[in-house]
Amino acid sequence: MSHQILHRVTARMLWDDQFARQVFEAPDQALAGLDLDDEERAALATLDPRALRVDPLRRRRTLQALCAELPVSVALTLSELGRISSLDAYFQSAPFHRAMMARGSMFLAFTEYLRSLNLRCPQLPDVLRVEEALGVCRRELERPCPRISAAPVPTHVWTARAPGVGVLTVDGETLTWMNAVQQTLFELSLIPAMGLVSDGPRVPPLSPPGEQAPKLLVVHPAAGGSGLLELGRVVHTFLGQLDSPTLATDALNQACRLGLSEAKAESLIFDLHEEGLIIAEAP
Amino acid sequence: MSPLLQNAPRLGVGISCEFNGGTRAVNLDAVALREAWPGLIHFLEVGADTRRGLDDHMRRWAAQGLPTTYHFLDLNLAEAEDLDPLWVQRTQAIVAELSAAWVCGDAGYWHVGAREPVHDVLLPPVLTRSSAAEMAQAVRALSAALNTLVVPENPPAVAYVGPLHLLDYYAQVVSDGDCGFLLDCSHLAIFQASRGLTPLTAFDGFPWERVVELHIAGGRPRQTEGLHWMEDTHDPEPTPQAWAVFEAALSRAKNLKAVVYECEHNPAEEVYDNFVRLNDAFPVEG
Repeated sequence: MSHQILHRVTARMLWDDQFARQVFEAPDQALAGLDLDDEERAALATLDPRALRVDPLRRRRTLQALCAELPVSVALTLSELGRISSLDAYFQSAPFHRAMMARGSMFLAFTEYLRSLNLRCPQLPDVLRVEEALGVCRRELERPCPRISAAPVPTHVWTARAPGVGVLTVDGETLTWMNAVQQTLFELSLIPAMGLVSDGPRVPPLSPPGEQAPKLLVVHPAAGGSGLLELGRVVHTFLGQLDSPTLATDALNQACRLGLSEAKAESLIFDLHEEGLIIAEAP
Repeated sequence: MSPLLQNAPRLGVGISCEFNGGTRAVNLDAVALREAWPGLIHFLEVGADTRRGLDDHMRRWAAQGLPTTYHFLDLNLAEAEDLDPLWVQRTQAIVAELSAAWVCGDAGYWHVGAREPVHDVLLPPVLTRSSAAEMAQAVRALSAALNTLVVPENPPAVAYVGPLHLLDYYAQVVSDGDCGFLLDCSHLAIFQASRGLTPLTAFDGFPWERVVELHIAGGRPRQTEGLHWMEDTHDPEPTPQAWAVFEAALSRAKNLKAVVYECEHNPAEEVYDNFVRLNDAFPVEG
């Protein structure tokens, strides 16, 4: 419906001055491809530009919320690029505008944007995957979890990895890198003005990837702490297989195929359910 | 007219609160204020969301069995798809805990895109007929899901898109949605000023019999690159334009049930006189 398009374009104009200017100066070009009639294009092009700028900190506040969920990834990014404008540019990026038009996630668009920068930092990809997975799991608790609610529901008792629980395999040093960067960020938080000086805390040298065996993580932010658990290969693999609703009998068989006896498989499923890592429901 | 609307109780004058308002430097405790000023504060309008739920202040009020209304801060009534089963389930639990007389909230967009922490921003609806029709549909669905009266409110904004006047837009919403209306007098005064209109423009023809609640609060004049606008700061003293809207609405809204003075982040002595004024204007006994 065109009113939703109007709303989404207006929101893009609020966050992106450059796009707003294009709408004011050349609406047909800036709004090309959108299902809007002449009157609707005119409505956008005749907005008072000043009314879009009454909140000069809008972008900073949004970045603050994004950075709060991706502190280490952002620190590594800024450490390499050395300019906050590299983050501001997110609001002019294709991932941002695509997300706004598709009712998508600004958070996921931001991680896509960070990846698109193709930075040299070899630790960034896995750090970003961990922080992104935590964010995705937090979001699964906010609204119906699509991997469960959008999947076909089995006709008998089924089980699935609980909303807000994920699995991830990353470089074995990833958590060490994250701890080191978080220590720097903590020091900066003690005296925020240190961010203005040249001899303040900096991201320390990080060990190169590939030196340790990969780390198998279960992502569970609702559990508190870092939200990251190391539960071993069998549990990790089993949880990874329960992405969508799976017949309870099939889930038991899957656990057995991982090398567990039937009794141990039943016990594992019981324990995972008790710990809130899986859910079980009847249709 | 919906039985839910016809049977809505008269609540009198209330005060607003928001989640963890007590962490702010100045915050009025509604329970204490009600005891200190007998007869001036009759209900609490609880502003909360499903992510954070209720805080101690809200629970203390509700535990005494005192009247409440629930003001959501996380539903895009302008976007029917935002009304998902998980939100409904969590809101039902909150409404039940509060025994809220009805559910109200700024009827526009509380977030851009889906409900996510980063997306929080209050934006107005697009003022067109198709948007009003979608909002009316969302209101009906919400009221049916909660089995509760739903009372949309006109939100604050500096910029609006769409040709309709705000009151014409919400007239369609409340008529098609068969619901009540919460007129925020200060928000309407801001809208009228932003379009260069007088405070009572478009009052004729509005379905005033559906207005069950009024809000009033103070604001501060701002200027951005020469643009004069009013920020909805909830300061103690409403503008003369907001009072003009309030007085005119009060005389027309024959089914009015509640008035909220949005003032909780101000010193008590600065809001006392207006609580007296509002109670004189709208006595709880009717």
